[in-house]
Amino acid sequence: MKANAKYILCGTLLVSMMVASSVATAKRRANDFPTQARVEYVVACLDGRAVTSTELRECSCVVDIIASHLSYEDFLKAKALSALQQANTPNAEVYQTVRMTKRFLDKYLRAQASAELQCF
Amino acid sequence: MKSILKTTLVASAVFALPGLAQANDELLKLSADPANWAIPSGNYAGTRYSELNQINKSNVGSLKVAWQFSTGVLRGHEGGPLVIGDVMYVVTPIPNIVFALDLNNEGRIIWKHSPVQGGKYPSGETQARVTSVMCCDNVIRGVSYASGKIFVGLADSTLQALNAKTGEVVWQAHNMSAGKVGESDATGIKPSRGNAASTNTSVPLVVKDQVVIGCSGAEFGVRCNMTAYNINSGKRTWRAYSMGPDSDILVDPAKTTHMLKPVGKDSSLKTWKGDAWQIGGGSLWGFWAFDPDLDLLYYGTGNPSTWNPIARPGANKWSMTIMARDPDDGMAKWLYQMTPHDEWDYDGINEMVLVDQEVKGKNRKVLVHFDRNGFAYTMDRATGELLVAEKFDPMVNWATHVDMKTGIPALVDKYGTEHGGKGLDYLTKGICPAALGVKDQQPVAYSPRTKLFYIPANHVCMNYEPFEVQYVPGDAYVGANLDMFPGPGGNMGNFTAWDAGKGKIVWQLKEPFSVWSGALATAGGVVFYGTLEGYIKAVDETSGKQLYRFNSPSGIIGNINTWAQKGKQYIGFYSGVGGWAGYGVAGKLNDTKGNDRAALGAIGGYRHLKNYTQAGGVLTVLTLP
Repeated sequence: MKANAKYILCGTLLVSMMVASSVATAKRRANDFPTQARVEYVVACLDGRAVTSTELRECSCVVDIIASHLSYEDFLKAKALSALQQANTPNAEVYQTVRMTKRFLDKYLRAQASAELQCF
Repeated sequence: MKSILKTTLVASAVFALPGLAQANDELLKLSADPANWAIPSGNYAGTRYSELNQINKSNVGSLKVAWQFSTGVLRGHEGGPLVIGDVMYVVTPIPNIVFALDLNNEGRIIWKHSPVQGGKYPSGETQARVTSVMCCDNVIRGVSYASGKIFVGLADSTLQALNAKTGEVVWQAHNMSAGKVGESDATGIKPSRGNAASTNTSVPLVVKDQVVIGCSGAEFGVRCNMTAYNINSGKRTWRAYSMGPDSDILVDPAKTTHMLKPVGKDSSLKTWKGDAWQIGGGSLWGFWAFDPDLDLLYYGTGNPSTWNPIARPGANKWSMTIMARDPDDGMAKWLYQMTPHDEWDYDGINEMVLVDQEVKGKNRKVLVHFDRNGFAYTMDRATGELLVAEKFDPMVNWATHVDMKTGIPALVDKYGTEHGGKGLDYLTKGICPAALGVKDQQPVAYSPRTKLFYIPANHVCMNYEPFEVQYVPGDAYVGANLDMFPGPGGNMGNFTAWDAGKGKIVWQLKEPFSVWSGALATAGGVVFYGTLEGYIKAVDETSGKQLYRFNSPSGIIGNINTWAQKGKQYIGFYSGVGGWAGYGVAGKLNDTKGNDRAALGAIGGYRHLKNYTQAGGVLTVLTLP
């Protein structure tokens, strides 16, 4: 089941990664996550898990791959959209219905899924 | 020098005998010392301008975090910190915990007041019930100080006065009912038609020896009002409804004016069909201003209830109205309705800013208001004369202009939603701005140095479809479906510098998302605002050039305030939009098949997402190294 799901996801990911890669070619923007942002991500990823070298490697791997795919600026936008999608303000409503932001967030979610497939 | 002045003021404030001086004399003194941030908007005029200049254009780039304080509460954090002497006061979203923080000790908690006990608010309503009738997240916009007390308007509509030293409740008043008809009258208020499911998100304002508080619930058919209580006894002194008979709305038919003419008898009743005014909305949940010289209190009223305009023929007065009232008895001096018979939910609650400015070659005492409807109004604040009404975002399309003789906006038929009564279940497309307005409650700043207003703005349009809805007391009463999209240019927010004398944009910074934080202007020549990505940004007051930015832990929808302590200037603000899960980015894959979502859920690390303790709101304090 898990492998199957993984397979399906990889298929769609390949396509989306190709689309995303045209954005990612602006290489000077990629890999610009501040150390603190990477540490925060890893700490959150480790939550509820044992802190062994395996877990540290897996979680570090995820954030490194995400950082290689999109700029820190775009990561923050995705993070904001994610928060707004779950919030309950009229403001959030905008971001739940706007197509442009949905596409943007989807792109990010696929990058995240790709990273997790490669790292875990 | 500054700190000595501050100590003296605080001491005299504490020992002042009641009756000798009115509370606003004390507040005028406290707010005149820029070391404090003593009134929610910085001062009674609502300019959100500080005379502090230690942080300036040349050094703002080196701002560093002094300390941070986590509230431990999720969801949207609006409002901003209040600073009196060496103590900061903040309040969290529901459950509305009030903290007093020690500024001598990097924000150590002096006291903590938790109004919700055993799952219940002081009115007896459960936290769950209150949360369920909040229209738009669990927000609250701050606390006020006067005469050794902290005033907080809880979400359940209870107004509490707390001892500023200990946090103990000195008195409380149940202002409105958050309950359901026939279910609860624990407070002595019987929930009834027009007074059920009412909540509060506004920050009370102390004016003279009274504290005024608004109410929310236009989405639940509440008839809202401004109500004043004596700050010492907690006794109600007056209540002015937004709509209803003259005796309820506190107008003098012969003396109260609209566009410089007396409003006449039954000015509100005549503009509603039957008794629809009884559930007419007109809520009050923004930031308010007071002019001690003219002795007038200024605020704006919200949308008429329901959002379906066909259900409420007439101009629906006095919803969507700027009001100037005598703070002693609440009597209205003048009124101005901006959006008669609202068809778009363009609440008129945004703050009023009182400045002295040149308009058309004449120096005037004006009130400036940036409305949700996209027009910026400059008015003579003594008389209510309309001086300027111009769009502060050129995208605004529902009206071409405001008729300066009548004050009525010239509507564009195709962007109305009523369509001569045929608008029911009809989708009107491409209305700009969206219901959340070109600007919502996020307050502007004004700098007397540049004579410019700095506007945190939305740039969003909408499609709007009204539908039929039955009023059931205590239940939602909305009556419209909306979807929204970015305005022209694709960005969804702006930070705009505005000349209110001329009614013109001076410069504008595009932001990818709505700018939902309150702005701050300073004598250091620097203007601050926050973004939904969590950036606090400092820009040059004249050019808008970015001088500094810092990424805080979450999106900023609170206000940025400043104060000084022991010779150092600080900048403080809340971040917290709610929902951010910490690890990775949570979200729904929107344009793909269910398979993707199932797959995401199955991936190793991702399953931990739901277990991760969500970060609460964070107060960040910045200073120079």
